Amino acid sequence: MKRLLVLLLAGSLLACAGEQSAFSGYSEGAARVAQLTWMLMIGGGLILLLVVVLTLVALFGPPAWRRRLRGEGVVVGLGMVFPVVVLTALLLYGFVLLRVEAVPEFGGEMLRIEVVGEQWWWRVIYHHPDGATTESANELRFPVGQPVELALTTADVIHSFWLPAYGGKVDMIPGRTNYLRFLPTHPGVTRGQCAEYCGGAHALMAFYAVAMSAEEFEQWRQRERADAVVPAEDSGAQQFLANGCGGCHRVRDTPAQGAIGPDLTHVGSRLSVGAGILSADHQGFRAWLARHQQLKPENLMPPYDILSDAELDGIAGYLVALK
Amino acid sequence: MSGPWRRRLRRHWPWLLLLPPFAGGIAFLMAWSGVINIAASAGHPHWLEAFLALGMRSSIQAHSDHVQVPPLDDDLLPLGAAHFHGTCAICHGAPDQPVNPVFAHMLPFPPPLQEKASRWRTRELFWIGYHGLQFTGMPKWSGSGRQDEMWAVAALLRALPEMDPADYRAYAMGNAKIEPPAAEQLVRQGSNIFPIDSCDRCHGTADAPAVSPYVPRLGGQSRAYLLRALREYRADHRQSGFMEPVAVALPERSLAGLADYYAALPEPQHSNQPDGDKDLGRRLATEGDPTRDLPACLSCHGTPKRADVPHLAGQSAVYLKQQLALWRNGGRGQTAHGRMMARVAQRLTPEQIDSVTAYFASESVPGGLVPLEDAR
Repeated sequence: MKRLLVLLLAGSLLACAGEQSAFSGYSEGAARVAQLTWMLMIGGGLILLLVVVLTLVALFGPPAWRRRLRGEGVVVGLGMVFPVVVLTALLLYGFVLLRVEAVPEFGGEMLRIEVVGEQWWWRVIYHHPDGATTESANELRFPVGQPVELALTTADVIHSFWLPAYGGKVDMIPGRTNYLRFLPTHPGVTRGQCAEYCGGAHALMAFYAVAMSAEEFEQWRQRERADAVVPAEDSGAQQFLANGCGGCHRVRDTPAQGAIGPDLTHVGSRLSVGAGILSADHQGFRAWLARHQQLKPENLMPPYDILSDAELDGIAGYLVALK
Repeated sequence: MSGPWRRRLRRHWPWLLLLPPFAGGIAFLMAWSGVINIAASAGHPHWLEAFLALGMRSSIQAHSDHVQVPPLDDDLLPLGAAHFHGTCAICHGAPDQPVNPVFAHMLPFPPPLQEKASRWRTRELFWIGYHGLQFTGMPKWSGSGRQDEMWAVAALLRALPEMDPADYRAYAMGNAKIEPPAAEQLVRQGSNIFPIDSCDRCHGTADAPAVSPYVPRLGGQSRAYLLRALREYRADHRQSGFMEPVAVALPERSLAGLADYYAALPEPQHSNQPDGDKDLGRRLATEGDPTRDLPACLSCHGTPKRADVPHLAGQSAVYLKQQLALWRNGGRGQTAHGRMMARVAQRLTPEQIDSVTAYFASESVPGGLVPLEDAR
């Protein structure tokens, strides 16, 4: 029994840390929310403990203690003064915490990223400082120390953008743009998830967020802005086109210019395929191409049962090479 | 009922419960003992004949009652006639062709339809042909889900009683040129002058387009696609009551040659030019409609494309529309290629279907000039 309890406790504590946790507090705002959460939980726990102790004293304590507890002073002190003081302090603390702008004054520019929820993946559009945009999918990259502004919209139904380690949960609502701003303070790879039921494959609509140092991010940005790097004669590239992949997917600087599904220009350098459900390596791409309707039922990509083993390997190899 | 009878019934009615098992036992004994002669030569007494006919007629009427007759146009007649002549006429006869004596000795014997088809409503003819009839030898339609094909036959059967033998012959022969054999040929090869697997009955030739816009244009089509289609028909994966019997009758070694023949055939385009916004069609073909998650048709059907994916340019719009309808209602989802296309076809609006089929029909392909591709 005891061992079971320890296991349960350990399990629930382990779940608190990790890549998809609101307790991580990897941005300024998220850290404050986490701090407030801890304070409330510990404070509330202490008060509960006090109440339990007083109850036990009232029931089983020595007569002298029980007599003292009966006194009017205790009722006034613990029943009226204590709550007023504690709740007022908490309220003021909350006001202070909330009044602090989510993003403090910052000399440089914000990193602006547009995220569009689609059934069942995330279209991610980076707005670069010179006004150019590039498209990616199911992955957010941002530098530590620069405020990030996410413009959240949807292409179809209501989704909810939830990246617990860095920011709160914000709905993506048809016909309007919601904003989420945060200042990342910790580098790392974390995971986000759609948090509003949006149809069949909702549970498999996730993404990764990668916070990097400023220099790393700048290097990544240069690579991301460049066009596809695989030569057109590559047999995988030809199989990709011959099988109509370009009707829905774009690979910049190639004939594949579809805008329906995720942009694949640099898909080989991403962490996942299928919106956070498979790793973006040869095996992952191959599995996705061969069995995506089984892995992620109802997803809107037509089933590609027509591909032979050689074609699966060729196209998977091409996608991996799209670094 | 008088008093004593009623009293008796009230007291003894439970005995009545034994009647059904008793009747069932008698029926079982009759079947088990083999006393009934089911030989076709034994025939049916008149009363049994009348009883069975009543049951059949009532069942057909009751079950075909909900069937809605779609608009049936004259372009369906050549299809119906070619299929009827190749598959049905041997039992049911045809203008100037009596019922084969072998089949005339069936019990019940198949009715000669030029005389008897007018006894049935069009929807009943459809229902019988599509579902078949138990205990009569009438099979159900061999292409499951292909009501559209049986409607072509129903259209023929509706017109058959009034049809002139010359007209019938022209419809049934299509582009096939078949002369009555000379005596010597008759002696050597027999009179099987109307083989079921003569493609020209429906499909186009070097001089003539397909007999109807419902028939696809094969000339210049991708070789690998033609081969795939024939194999899918033979394997009962692609459904068609017209093509499956033909494809199954073909010898396997002839398939590649057939595909080569049609891939190289400069077949004229059918003159039928449908209505439809061709500009919208062109946009759908080249760009798709991202608002409906619809990829451009030419991303798979253009260049470069898989060898076993068909060309669409110059294809009949009526045929394309019918195939899209099949994909939309699940009739063409049994193959890997079909499952893929079904997903796309379901995203088209009716207006988009009209436009895109009109666009592809209006695009001309240089007949037979499409390079031969290697079969996969």
